[in-house]
Amino acid sequence: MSRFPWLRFSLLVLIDLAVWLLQKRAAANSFAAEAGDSFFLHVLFDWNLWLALVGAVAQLALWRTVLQRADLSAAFPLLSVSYPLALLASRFVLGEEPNVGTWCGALLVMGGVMLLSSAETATAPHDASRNNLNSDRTA
Amino acid sequence: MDILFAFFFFSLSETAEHLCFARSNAADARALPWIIGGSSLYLASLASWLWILAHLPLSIALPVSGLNYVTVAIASRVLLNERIDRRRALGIAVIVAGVIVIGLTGGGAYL
Repeated sequence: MSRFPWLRFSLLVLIDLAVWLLQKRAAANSFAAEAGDSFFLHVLFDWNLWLALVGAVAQLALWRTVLQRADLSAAFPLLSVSYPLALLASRFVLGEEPNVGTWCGALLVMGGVMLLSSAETATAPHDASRNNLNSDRTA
Repeated sequence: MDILFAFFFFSLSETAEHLCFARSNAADARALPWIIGGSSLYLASLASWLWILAHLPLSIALPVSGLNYVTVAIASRVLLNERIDRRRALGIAVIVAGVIVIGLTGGGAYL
């Protein structure tokens, strides 16, 4: 196994964060604008959502190239660092104020996902992040 | 209450989606129904996720969505006969603990 592809991996995590932020923006826009017409109809026409989908597809392609260079058992657990990083992003990009409990909880969730996805018998869940077009990340 | 229901629906649809895609690795037409099913469930889970994001801060909703790993692990145990070894069981417990901590320290106020 050659050296771990840190650059590609970091890009993967960054896209993770971007996808979540875009999804949040799409949802918030539609929630604010909702007047009579349906939330779901509104969000369907929000470009943030479509950009998030593009990001998810790009992530799929990138994930494949990461797996050509690193073990799934190494890369998959590591991907859960995007939980605490997403809290940072929500703080500095969205202006949310996660409290100490939320931080502790997010770190616990990260630890738990690491344990769950690094088990020796791992036939990993198909994707490492929520809401990606994920069917063949492990393929 | 709506939020709780939305999370329930989100978890259910995403877990079912993963199970469909886990079954879809046949190289011929037998995979097709699983792919169609998985894709529809993906859209359902995305819709509920967006609804959740409209009502909750990302910093709360995202860690709580880690529960989907737990439901996928349990569903794989029950329906696909995958093993839950000690390390995985610990992982499940730690994720659940994390979500409880978030719920008790302010996240619960959104329910």
